[in-house]
Amino acid sequence: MKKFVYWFSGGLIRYRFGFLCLCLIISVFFSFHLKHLSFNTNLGDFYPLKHPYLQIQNRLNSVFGGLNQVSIAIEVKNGTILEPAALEKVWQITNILYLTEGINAGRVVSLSARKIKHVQADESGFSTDWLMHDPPRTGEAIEKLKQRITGNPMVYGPLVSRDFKATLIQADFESAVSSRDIFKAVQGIKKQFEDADHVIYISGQPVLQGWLDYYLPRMAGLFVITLLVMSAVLYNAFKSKRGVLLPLLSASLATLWGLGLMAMFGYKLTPSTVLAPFLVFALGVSHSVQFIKRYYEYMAGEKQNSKEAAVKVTRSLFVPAFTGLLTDGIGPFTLFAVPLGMVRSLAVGIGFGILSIFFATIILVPNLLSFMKPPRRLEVIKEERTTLTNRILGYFAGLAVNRKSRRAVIGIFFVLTFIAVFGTSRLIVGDKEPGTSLLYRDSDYNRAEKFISDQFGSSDSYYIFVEGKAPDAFLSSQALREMESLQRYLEKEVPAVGRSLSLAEYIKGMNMSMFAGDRKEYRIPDSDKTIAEYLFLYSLTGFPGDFDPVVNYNYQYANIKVDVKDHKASTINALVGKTEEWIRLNHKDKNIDFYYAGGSIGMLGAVNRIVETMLPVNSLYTSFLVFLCLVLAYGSLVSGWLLIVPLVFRTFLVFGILGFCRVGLTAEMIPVVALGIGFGDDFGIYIVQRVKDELKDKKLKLQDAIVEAMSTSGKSVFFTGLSLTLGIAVWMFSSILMQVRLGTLLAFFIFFNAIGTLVILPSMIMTVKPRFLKK
Amino acid sequence: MKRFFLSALAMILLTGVASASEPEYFNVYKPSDGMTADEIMQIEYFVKYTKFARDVELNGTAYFVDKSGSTRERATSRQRITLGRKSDDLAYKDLNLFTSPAQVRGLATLGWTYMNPARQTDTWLWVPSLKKIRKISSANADDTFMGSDFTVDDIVTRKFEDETYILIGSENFKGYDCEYDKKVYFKDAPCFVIEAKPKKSPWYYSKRVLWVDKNTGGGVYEEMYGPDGKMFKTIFKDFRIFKVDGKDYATQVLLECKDLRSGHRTVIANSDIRYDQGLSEELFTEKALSRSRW
Repeated sequence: MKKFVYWFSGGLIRYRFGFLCLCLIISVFFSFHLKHLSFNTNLGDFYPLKHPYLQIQNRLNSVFGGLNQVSIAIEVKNGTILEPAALEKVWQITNILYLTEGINAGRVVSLSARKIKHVQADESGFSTDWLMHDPPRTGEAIEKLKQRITGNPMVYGPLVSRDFKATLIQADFESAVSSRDIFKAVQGIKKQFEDADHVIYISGQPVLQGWLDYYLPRMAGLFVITLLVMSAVLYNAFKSKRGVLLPLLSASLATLWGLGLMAMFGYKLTPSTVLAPFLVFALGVSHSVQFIKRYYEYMAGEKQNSKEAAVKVTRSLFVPAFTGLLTDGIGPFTLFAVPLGMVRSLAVGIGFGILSIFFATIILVPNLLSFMKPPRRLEVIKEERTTLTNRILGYFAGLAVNRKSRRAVIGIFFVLTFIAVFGTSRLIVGDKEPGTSLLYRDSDYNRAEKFISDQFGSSDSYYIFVEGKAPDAFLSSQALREMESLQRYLEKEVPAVGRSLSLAEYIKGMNMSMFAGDRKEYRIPDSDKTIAEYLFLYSLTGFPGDFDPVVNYNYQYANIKVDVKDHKASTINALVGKTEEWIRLNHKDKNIDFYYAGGSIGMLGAVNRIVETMLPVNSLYTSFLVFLCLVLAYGSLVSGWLLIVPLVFRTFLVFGILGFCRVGLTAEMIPVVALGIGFGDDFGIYIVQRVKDELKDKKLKLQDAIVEAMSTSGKSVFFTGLSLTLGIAVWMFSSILMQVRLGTLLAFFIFFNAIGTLVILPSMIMTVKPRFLKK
Repeated sequence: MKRFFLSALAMILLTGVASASEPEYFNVYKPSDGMTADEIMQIEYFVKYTKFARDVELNGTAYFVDKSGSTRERATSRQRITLGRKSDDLAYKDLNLFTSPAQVRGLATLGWTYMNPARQTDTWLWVPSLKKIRKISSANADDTFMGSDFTVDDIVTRKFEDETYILIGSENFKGYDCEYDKKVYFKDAPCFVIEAKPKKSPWYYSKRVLWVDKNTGGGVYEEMYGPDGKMFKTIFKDFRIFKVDGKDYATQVLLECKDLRSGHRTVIANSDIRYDQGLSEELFTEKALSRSRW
């Protein structure tokens, strides 16, 4: 290894023009590829698409549509929706939607939609009419409409709020229509119909995707902030131009190459992959800091020239930098096992970036340093001047040197970890906030979701897919009775359930109409033939596709939709558990089968399951691989334990804090932990290497080596940790809450790791006194 | 001058068109060159509603085909008696019996349509499993016709008075490629091209462009345009001449309607068409409706 490092460092500087040209050519090549890189959100990335619940959702989408559903609510500020101006808007918006390219006309629902009917029954028969064919203009006509609304439980509540202040319009678009086009169309409607007295709220998956696409390009602005923050940190660390510009240049090239690789392999910038350049940039800077710091140390000596210093820096830092980058790469590597598109694509982005950092830091930084004039004396003095950081680090070293204090440090650390284990037992999985966890609670989108949920009682949906063994399976009284029984069971057993809807309600409604509107006849008829006739009559009254959301054309597939008031993990578990229980105890009809869990409840439930299973598995897997890397790099088991045990304990501490703070564990925690562990050991590696060098080269005693390592590499570690933390913390300014959460947690984790390393590791080394340090 | 009058008289006799007034029930009319758009369309409606025949019986099969090719099928047995009776305002009575799918065989509707355009059709429904007759409201003109891509307007309620007409010209029809049987219909058939605009506004269509076959008077093809000016539906009708007592009855034997927005289409194929069988009006009563024939 030593021979290789000598050969490599020598060759790197000997052929420095060649390496520089190579870096330039690679940069031009990847710059060319950048033009293919675009912003594009795919909500599928946030869900485990192969999970059984998502498979059910896919079947629901393919049979009943609804993938591209949007909800448009109109709120009247002064007055109610039962006024000509508001009703005219409903009517116009509905008609515009019918004419919109790619609309699924059979799924347009509003007061004036063609499929929303008013049925009036008496002894002689019944009449069916559009609920609101044209907007009423006279008081009498409006009163008539009000009576129609209040008399229809499928309209009063679900489509018109109880206080008549708001009404809902729903539309669904063909799957071929892009979310960008849908977003544009509905935003156009909002712009056209919103005024001082009428507020329009819009929600739905394509709208959410549209908002994410809208916010994504703003990340470019945050990148500029990152650049400024990094410059400030670097200036504070080195007080020189080269100390600022060199790390920025090398990190920028690593970022450029990483992005170029992503573009070359066809990846887009999504809410998760857009974070990769930030991470790569911060990581690139943090590794460069070590090189610059060591360069200044060499240049502090007499008669040094830049070429020699570059060779020495490479010799000293090749192993820790290589090991550090290798363990950095373990995080993204293990993330490939997580079945979430957002995690995998983030892993790809970071993986490409780390590969780029290897070249941009280990090759380019020494290469550029070799071309530079030796720094002026003042520049070196400024860099080496004792600062507050040095004093604090000296204090940490002092804690390690003193036997009592180091025992106290280790003892406190163990006690805290023990308390943290208790904290982890209080961890809750899943997000409990209403609306999407991807955006802020007060974002336009979440305000719209909240409004619609509050007014129309449809916060989250839970779908059960009911499959017949053969066509016409639902022309059966038994099948419908089972569906109804399951609905009543869930309504009774799960407190968060609002209402439920299935084919059973339609059949019961038709039966009541057939019997002069008698409430007693709101039931499923006994005869299968009557059910067949009712369904046939329904099919005669709607255009092709109008009945598709409820039952498919050959009556083989149906669904049960359950409106749920929240998506807490306990609610999701209760819904799934009670459904399973009902099926086990009550499902007798051999001609139909029930499959769950679809809708937003199923999708979130699947994510929760992934978090529950993958988080501990992935954390252990990452820790094991990091441990293996360390053992291989230093040829000692003790080196692995020395670095990994505090890291695992620190991870417990972070989880414990989250548990005590009752922060819900969401999917973002998986990359946070994997990257936190992968990046977190860098700090220890640089310190251990420095102690090793001091013991070996300067033949210092262990305690002196530690003091020296803390004042040199310790300082670098502090700035490395600070630059990484601040680089990631900038995500807190994003408009996308998922990025904020990821940034906050990861920044906290990394800073915690950096400080933890500086406090604990010296005491651990002094206590263990590992022999591998002297080899 | 005398020759001109004689020619005009001969033309009227030949075509049977009373240009100044509405076509009379139980006569046969054909459009001819020189007619106005209104005259042509009066004949088109006359032919569409088979006002030339005293009664008609037929079996109809409807196919509902979605854009993926999935097809549903329904079959009916239909009877119509044309009355054109001013005394009680009755234009005609229809009886529709559903014969397929098997589960709903016997479900039937009875409709009485009146001569007064403002008067709504009376419709009764027979539900065999409940052995109940229920009077049901007639659907809106822009509602679906029996769950198909046709609107009620397209098939039963649109009247001559509902639209204004402009004769765009006369041309040989380009031909219609029928998706149902893959045949090309009415290629180079001489047609009048009429633009029809609804008097009602706003309405679900802004205009129709029709090709009226000079040979039968039937509207063989039409394009419908939405309020946004975009074509959203096409309707094709194959007319055949049935010889009944020496008269030529132009009859719709195949209809194909395509919804261009959804990609869905509906085909109605009529067979076993029999005219003037002397059907009794007694067959078209609520009592007769309840006598389930299946």
